[in-house]
Amino acid sequence: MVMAKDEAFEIMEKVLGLSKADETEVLLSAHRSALTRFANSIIHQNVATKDATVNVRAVFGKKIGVAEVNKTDTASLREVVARAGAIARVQKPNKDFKALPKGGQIKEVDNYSKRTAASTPEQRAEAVRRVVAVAKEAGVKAFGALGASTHVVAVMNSRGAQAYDDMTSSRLTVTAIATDGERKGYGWAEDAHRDIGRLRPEVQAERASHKARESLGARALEPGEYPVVLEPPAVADIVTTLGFTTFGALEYQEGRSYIVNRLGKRIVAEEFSLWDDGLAPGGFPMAFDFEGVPKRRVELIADGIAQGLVYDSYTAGREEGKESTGHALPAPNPFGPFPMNMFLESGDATMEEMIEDTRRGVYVTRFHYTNTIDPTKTLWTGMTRDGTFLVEDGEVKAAVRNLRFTDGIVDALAAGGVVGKEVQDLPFSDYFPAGGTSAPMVKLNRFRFTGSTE
Amino acid sequence: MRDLAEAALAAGTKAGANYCDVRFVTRRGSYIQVKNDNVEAVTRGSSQGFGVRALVAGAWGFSSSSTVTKAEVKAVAAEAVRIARASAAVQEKGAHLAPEKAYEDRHRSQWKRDPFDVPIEEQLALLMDAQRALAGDATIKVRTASSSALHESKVFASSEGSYIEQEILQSGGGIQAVAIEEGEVEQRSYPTASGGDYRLAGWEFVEGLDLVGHAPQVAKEAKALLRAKKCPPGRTTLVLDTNQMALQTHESCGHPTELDRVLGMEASYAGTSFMTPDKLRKLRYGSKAINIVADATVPGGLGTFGYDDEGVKAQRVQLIREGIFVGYQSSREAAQDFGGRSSGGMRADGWNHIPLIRMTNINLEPGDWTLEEMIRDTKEGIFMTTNKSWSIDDLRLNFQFATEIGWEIHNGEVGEMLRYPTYTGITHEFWGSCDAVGRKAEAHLWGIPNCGKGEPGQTARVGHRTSPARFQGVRVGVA
Repeated sequence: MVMAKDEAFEIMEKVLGLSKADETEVLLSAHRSALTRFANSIIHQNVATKDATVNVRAVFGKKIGVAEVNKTDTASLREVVARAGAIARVQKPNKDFKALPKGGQIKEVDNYSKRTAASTPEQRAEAVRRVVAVAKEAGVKAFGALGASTHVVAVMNSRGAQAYDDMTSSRLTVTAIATDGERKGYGWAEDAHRDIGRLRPEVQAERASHKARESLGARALEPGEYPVVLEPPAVADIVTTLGFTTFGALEYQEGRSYIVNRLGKRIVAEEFSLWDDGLAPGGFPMAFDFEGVPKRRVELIADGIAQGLVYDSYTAGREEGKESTGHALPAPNPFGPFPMNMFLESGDATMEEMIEDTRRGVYVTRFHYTNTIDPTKTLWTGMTRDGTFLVEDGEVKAAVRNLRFTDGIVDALAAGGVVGKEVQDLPFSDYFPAGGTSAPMVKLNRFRFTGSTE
Repeated sequence: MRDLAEAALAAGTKAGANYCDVRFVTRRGSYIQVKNDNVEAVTRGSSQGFGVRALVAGAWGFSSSSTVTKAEVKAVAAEAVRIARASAAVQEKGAHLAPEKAYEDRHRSQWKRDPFDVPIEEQLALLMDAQRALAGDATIKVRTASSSALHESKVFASSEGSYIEQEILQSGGGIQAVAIEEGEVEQRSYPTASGGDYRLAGWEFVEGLDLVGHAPQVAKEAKALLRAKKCPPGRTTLVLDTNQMALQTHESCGHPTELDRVLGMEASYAGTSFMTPDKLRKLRYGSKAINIVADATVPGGLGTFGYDDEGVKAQRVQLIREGIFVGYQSSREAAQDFGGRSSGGMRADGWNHIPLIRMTNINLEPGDWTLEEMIRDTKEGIFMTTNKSWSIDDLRLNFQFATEIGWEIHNGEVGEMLRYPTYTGITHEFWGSCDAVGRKAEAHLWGIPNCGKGEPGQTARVGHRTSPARFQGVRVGVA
């Protein structure tokens, strides 16, 4: 345990006691994190850190100031409270600010593992050794990272919100590179769990190694529209970008979201349903947001129809009758609330069925460097990476060079497809335990590739 | 601080490190954002801590802590050695460091007005005026002005005898207007997007941007874009403004010449590089007009410092000479494999990360054209400015950029405004098509404060002094 609940609450109560603001919020974040990185089948970077940060939001009327310090002694707390207060006093009032949230009953979530919290550099090195051994047997080089972290997040404010969570996470990523003369093949696999003992180094190493060998000698494929079979990491990339650019209340209120004037309307094919649930185990849960508000499940898309948005207290205060759904980021947050635990509903199809049902298409392991060109049209671009294959007549025929897509993602989802039963839970971060996307395999009927690489 | 540094190095050496270094870092950060007459964010943060890097039998370990006491310093140094020993379990030939002189020195950047001393009211007033100056037309729905500053003081000490104290201050800001009408959304930013421009300087740099004076033109262009013609697809002559040249240089020359990427150290995350060692001094990367350097000594750059984070003195390194790929950005470890010296590019994001090979200031050396001459000399083409979107593959070959705005060029004159200006290409083909680079007077030193790399993720603040440039036969209008 990085910081016990009693100690965290004592620090936060001290902050509230020191503040003379009308309203005060304190966000305490403490962590101990480690990450072992390997490349060319050796460990080349191996790091650990520990820190504790106190973030204070002071409110005078509608004037808000935020200050942060990474010390918890009384003198530092006194200074950071004074700094936040001084900033707030010289502010202009924010007319849209209503009040800090009152908080609510926090549910217990299962997101802690003693084994992860107690993990050692020797144990991480041993897991990497097992990855490297499989890669060596397969005749490929292994690259990747194994991270383990323990985080405490606690929130308290002067209006009664109180929250504390102690979380762990671990994540193993493996990139395998096969070399045959001038030719190179790439493969990827990843595994994440709150319990480091549940990671499967050999399985991931074998998956990545197999794909790397299969990727050798990739040939050019003419860009154009193809059906695509997407592995969960590729689906998660799409879903995460869609969630961040489309389903936050701030983008919506400012008119920058695709679903402006589309709530309650069909935006994608009926086989797709998407929701955010910060309490469900698969989504790397944290029971409350960074304002101490309990997380609520929010339906984003149901059977293809746009359903709702996620709110923090600020954006909720700007709409009549709205309440925070528990999606605030740490203050000050000019980016607005984000859906941090998204789930795309799984279906019945297996990967084999999706491939068998494809006359000519592209199989994608994952995307790289996805970026938005126009969020209001969900127009994005990005590259495929670490295993892209041509599917012909129901079989994976050949590795192809990485392809660039430029497409309206909602348009691609609207053209329909098949949702797979195989689901993978993919975290956003190696270091922070909460937040991620749970994604099944998906086949899209059409996807627009606009270029390819050498 | 010297006694704590000595304690760390002694503890690391005693525990078995063949080499160790320690960095004590204190950072102060400031961020202000105003939007639509509201103050959205005013925050000031501070972070202090230290990190110890240890090399044991060719294997690395690093540990760090925010508790800066002698007992903790010793414990963290011992932990770094323990981690290094664990790393040694999965090694081959082991890491070695290229030789480097030990330095005892101090370095401090220059500024006139420390933003942490300038009253917040004054800073807010400037930003409020700037976003207010964006108002006036009903289509302008989101008006934003922001500024930020970073003050960092750090001490580096190594078991080889270096003891270096450095202090830097960086400041920057910008404005953005978002125009919305009938489901169409367009944005314009000044001086560039993603928060504006940054410099190794104080609040005087933000004052000098004249955000208020530029706001009306920014708003006017945002509105005009709503009804502008879409960039037509095809191949054409492309003239890029200095701000887009900064990102083009960053993504397609800065990252692929980082030697750690080339050697596979980033393969699992950001990728590798097509600029492999067998291509050094052979690859025609660009036309003869292309000369690119990594220069940590250029005054005012976000990548300017006295020494990097493994104690190597700041320097200027040629990466591309007359279009030929001639050099890498490197570290002591990576340089050792090439029998050379480090380029001084190891930089860490704060106290709690290891240094990685990061860009300093990756600068395109000036040519002899003016922007006006480039356009006058172009029969048919497009001029694009201000980055909006960027994407490049994991070998840094296939890129695609979108800018906020473009204009057609017809018979040597700027014509109709274009929305959705996008262009795409293959790095060496694109740079190979460059036939004009702007002269020194046209160059601008841009600051990019958000370059991501590494696991755990690190953010570097880097500079690019770039001129406008012209490229032939570029594929545009992809979106």
